[in-house]
Amino acid sequence: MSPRAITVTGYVVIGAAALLVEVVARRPGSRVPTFSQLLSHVIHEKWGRVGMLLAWWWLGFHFLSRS
Amino acid sequence: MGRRADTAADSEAVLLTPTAPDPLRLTHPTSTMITWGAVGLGYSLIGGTFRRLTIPAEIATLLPGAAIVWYALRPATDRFPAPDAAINRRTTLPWAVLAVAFGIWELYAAARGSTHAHPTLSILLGPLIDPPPARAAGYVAWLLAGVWVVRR
Repeated sequence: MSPRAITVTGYVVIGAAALLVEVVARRPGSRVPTFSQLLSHVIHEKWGRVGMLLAWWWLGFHFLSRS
Repeated sequence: MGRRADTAADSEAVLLTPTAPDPLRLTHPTSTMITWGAVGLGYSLIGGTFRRLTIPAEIATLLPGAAIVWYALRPATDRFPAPDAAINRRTTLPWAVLAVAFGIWELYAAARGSTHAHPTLSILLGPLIDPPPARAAGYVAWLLAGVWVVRR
């Protein structure tokens, strides 16, 4: 297995795990928050809101302008 | 006189207090939503034509980014009320583990030079978002995410 394949596999595994957590969070009675609930909670804290905005801004700059 | 002063103060307080906005309902678009949607779509189509690593491409993300950050942090901007149910920090552990794992994986790839053999996510996705239509779609997704953050 090439180093590139290993690196890509790592991203796929992390993405699949995130999908799994989201599915578990959406089951009735689950105590795990969904990704949306987690972000909503973070955003309602002042510094969480600032951090989320800066992260959003950086993502656009990095992926759309610099990558 | 006192009552009039109270009333004026109450009115001013109502004007200054952020109120919860109406949810964005795509099934019931308002003229404002349609206008801003058209502006965002047009902006995305133009932004998608800019080649990456150029000044126009950087300005295309810096300008709306600055505008949305400024708008979101204004005290008078309408916001939804905070979620009713508090989130137990222990229940966020799966998300925290994933965030740390992703961070470690990205840092590892970056430390190895972010090469073809060890690509970071942006290098990996670069060829996918290089064509102008894909970049335009990326701008649409990015702007929608920004609006979502502002409205929460």
